[in-house]
Amino acid sequence: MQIEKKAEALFEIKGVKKRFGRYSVLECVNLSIQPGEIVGLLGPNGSGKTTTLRIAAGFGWPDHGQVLLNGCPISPDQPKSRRSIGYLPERSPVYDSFRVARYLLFVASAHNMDRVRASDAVEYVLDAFDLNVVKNRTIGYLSKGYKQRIGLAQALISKPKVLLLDEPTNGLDPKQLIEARRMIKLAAQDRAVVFSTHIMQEIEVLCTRVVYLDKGILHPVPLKRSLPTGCVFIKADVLCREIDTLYKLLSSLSSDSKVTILSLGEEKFTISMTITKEKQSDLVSTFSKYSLLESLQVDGGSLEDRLIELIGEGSKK
Amino acid sequence: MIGFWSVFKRESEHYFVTPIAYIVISIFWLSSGFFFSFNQLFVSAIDMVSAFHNMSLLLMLMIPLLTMRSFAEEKQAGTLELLMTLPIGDGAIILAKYLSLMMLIFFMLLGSSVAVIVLVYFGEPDLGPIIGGYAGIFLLASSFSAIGLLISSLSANQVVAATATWSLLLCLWFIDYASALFPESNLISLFQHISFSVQYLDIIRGVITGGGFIYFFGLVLFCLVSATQVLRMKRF
Repeated sequence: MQIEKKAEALFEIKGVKKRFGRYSVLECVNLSIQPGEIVGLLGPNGSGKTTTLRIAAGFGWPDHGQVLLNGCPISPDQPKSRRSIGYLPERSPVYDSFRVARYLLFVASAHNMDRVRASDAVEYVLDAFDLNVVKNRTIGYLSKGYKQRIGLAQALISKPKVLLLDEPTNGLDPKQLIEARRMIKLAAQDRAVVFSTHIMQEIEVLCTRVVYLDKGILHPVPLKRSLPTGCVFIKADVLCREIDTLYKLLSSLSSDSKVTILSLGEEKFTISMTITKEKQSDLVSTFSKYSLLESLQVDGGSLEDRLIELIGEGSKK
Repeated sequence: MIGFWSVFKRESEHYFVTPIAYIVISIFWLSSGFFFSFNQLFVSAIDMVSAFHNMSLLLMLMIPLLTMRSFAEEKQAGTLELLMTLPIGDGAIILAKYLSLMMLIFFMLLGSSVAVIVLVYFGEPDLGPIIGGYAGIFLLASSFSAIGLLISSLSANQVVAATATWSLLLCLWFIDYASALFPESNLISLFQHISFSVQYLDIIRGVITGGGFIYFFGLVLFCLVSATQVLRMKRF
């Protein structure tokens, strides 16, 4: 008999529950991450993404469950347990009255580094995040993009094993966004990264894994769609007066696949479904016959499509 | 006390990289100097009773302006979350913020001691009550600061924190007046014991009683432990 040993996770969130008064934010959150993984945390506003990251960073207590790093619990009342965690809160808060290098030196010394190690760590992050040009400038006078970089730099200064980023690209312009992505990729080498965002494009570019937090539970979202042999994923924009007519047409074409219909308003719908290649031509000819088809895409579908399927908004089997 | 020194240095620097320390110290030195000179010119007293009296009132006005930012500013800027996820203990954060503030107050009082040099130069003052007075004023300022720090930890708004601190300090200053409302009550001795205006009468004469010391030290300890608990509660 062969026993396959499962690789131990670097970072684990185990059965975490959290309530605020009568409102339950996290029902049961489980997540385990290996080094080198970048996990994207998605979820609607108020779903508990920030609460999850705060608990994971050792800021807050969970009502139940625990967070483990290399098998050791992360606890808010044990400051030492937070030494291997880098955390960037939402809005990237920094001390505006300080100069960049001095602020980073403060963070390094808070991680219990002696003066030499702290100076080396500051030099390293100043180089890595192209902050040398502003190292002697007061943070309050810098642009949002620079502040974001400083936030990332402080999260990485102790060379943590786990990096937790709460909406790190929020409010950045396109140029800063590209720059921030480069920084996150750079930061993710050899460590586990969890970051929350609302931007799907970001997830597709950066992540190795995606989870969706809904009603206090984490759901895995496949980054790439795995289709049965001989099947294709179809996404079509159609014009139709009544949704019932669409259901009838679609059920006559395929009775066994999951169909997602999203209303775009003004008698316009987006249909997404997995269908066999043979039935694909039937679908096209039926829609064309009634002049319903406006556009058709045949591919694996975007992450957004898979998320819509997961949420189940407007879906019908 | 993990992370104590890093927060202590950051807090102390914060007072001096911003204009806070310069403004507060200047106003305190100028005001206390003015009151001292005024007293010497018109009363010609070779002691500092009147100067200590004015210092107590100045500190009561100025300390809430220093303590209001301790936590309220961090909460507004979001940096408290960052601070509390660094490997620093909650007790270390409170103690570091408190001691950096006390260091600033020490400088304020040290500068005002020029008045003592003037007294020694022109007369022969009794230095015992003056040294005792300074120690007492420092104790009084310690309790003002601890109260301000506790209130700042409870508030997310700096103006609210300062106003609440002033209100509480005024209440504690005048609480012995409440004895008049309950002339027959046992509460009179309690009101008189916890009233700053009663305690400070000894202080300005340079007398620190055992009871006074225990009162101020107990008050500081109570406020700092409570502020630590407030910080811990934020984690729930």
